[in-house]
Amino acid sequence: MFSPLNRRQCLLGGAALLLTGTAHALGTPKGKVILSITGSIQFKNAGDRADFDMDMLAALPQHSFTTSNPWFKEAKKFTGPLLRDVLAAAGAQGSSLKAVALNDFKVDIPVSDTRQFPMVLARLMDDKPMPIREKGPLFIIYPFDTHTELHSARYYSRSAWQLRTLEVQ
Amino acid sequence: MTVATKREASRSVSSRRWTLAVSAILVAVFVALGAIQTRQIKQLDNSAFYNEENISWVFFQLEQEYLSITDSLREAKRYPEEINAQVIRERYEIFVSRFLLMQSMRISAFVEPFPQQAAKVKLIAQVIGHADAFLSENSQAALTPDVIHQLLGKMEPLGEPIHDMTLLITQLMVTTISHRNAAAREQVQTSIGLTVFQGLLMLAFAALLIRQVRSLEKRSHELHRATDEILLLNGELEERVRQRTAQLEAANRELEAFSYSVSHDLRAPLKSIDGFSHLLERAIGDKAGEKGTHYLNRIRSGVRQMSELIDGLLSLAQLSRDELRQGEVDLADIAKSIEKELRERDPERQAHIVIQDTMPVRGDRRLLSVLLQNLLGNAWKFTSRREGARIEVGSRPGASELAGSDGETVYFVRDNGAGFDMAYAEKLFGTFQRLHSPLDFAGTGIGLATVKRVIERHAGRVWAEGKEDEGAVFYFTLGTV
Repeated sequence: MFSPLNRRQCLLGGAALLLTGTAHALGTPKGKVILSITGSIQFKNAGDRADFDMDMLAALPQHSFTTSNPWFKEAKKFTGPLLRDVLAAAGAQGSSLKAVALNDFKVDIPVSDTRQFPMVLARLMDDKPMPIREKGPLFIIYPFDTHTELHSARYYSRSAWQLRTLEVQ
Repeated sequence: MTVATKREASRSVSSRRWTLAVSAILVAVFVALGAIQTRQIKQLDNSAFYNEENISWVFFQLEQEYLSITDSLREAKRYPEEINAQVIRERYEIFVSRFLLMQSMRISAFVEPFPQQAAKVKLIAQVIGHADAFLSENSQAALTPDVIHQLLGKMEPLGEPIHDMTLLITQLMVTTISHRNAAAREQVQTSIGLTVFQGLLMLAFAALLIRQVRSLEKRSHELHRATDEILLLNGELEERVRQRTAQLEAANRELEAFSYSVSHDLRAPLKSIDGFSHLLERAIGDKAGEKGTHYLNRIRSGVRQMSELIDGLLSLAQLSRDELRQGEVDLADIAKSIEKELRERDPERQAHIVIQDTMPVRGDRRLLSVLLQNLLGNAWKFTSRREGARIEVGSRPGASELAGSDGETVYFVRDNGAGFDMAYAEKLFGTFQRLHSPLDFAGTGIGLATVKRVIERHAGRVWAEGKEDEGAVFYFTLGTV
């Protein structure tokens, strides 16, 4: 479900990648690495991995929505790139993601979810970075409030927080 | 209402009551089932959301992260030269995030009812408050072996309370789940019981309905039978009436035929009396003498009178027998032609006759002629001795004081002749009834009987008013036959 704008952005991104070459297209993290994408990916910048720092994620097209979820009393505004854009940035080719949290908590997410829903890899909550103790720095958020079919334990468990690594399978 | 129908009615009332009661119970059972199922769905809903079931998972993680951070601190204590502050701080933050999660709304609502937990939670919060200065993500404090030793001293006593809490919560979860299972089982059992009850009620309901339908069928059958019976009786009655009418008609016909044949047969001997009386007169000639001539005249007068009587009777019988020939008739025209006849018969009579211009009616022209001939003839006859005789023929529209209640037109023939005593008004229309002596006025006494018969055949009414020596009025109406 790409919007026309997203598709154009993807095409532009793809064209840029072709011009500058794979490794450089991804860029290299200058700050602390907060996300690593491993497994079946095309673009890598650290051995077999694609590493991202906060600035690299902030450079991708940003999306925001406000939704409530089981972990907070009130609805919160979440901001970050779409998970599908992050995967595209690493040239991910697979059907399943294994999300690994800082404490090695693991959960499988079908890649189809990222196409079906505008899932955000949230890096800001209420416009502020999320510290680890507030489930940061990265939080996979489904648009719970606009898609009632997501109100189930299945999708709640897929909303990985304190995300550190995505394994593409 | 017969005893049987009363019983039937009371049975139908009680059956209706039963149906109502069973319906009400059925509705109640439906409501109960609905409530139970709603409760079950609610419980399932609870489990579908990130909720109580996840609490033990949260505590498990809390303990896990506690063990991780204390491990990291012990490691740092053992190998001070390899201290990685960033890794330790990350571990610490993860531990804190689990603690905060445990305190978040949905979980605390579950935990708070256990006061012994509160002290442990407070203890953990105190340690975190102290450790934050060194271990929080943004802390710049140096993690010297001394600091590590001190932090470990604070952290290690938390092991037992955290373990106890996790155990307690796990046990609590187990009991909660088993309670819920028991409740669910109980509800399912109640539900099954209610469903069975509902099924039985449905059967009872169906039985009641069947009973009612049967009773209705029976009643409808009975009604049909009663209707049939009534129809049969009606038919029988009609048949009987028809038979009686036929018998009466036959009797009437016989009577009329009899009177006709008698009248007819009387004519022949009468003719021979008349004929021979003439022959006798001629035969004896002048020898008859005054007395003989008188006797012969009396014989002839009797013969003439009897002949008139026979004619009247024959005409009356004829009137009753002949079929009505309905048509548009103007009574005024008939009256005028009768007036002409009367004046021709008695040219010397001075009588003033007034006839209404037109009186159109529907009826049998021949019978109505006979009617008016009789009425006008009577008037003519009974005014014969009156100076300034006056006869009037006319009509009054409906709704006048003399008209019938249904507004029918009343026709009348009025004269100022001899009149009659109202005391005898009832007798006027009987056959052979005469109020005057034949010496005063000639007549057979059949005229008004004939009038009455004509009016009867037209389904009308006839009546008269009069006063001796002042005159008479004969009224009649013609029904719409």
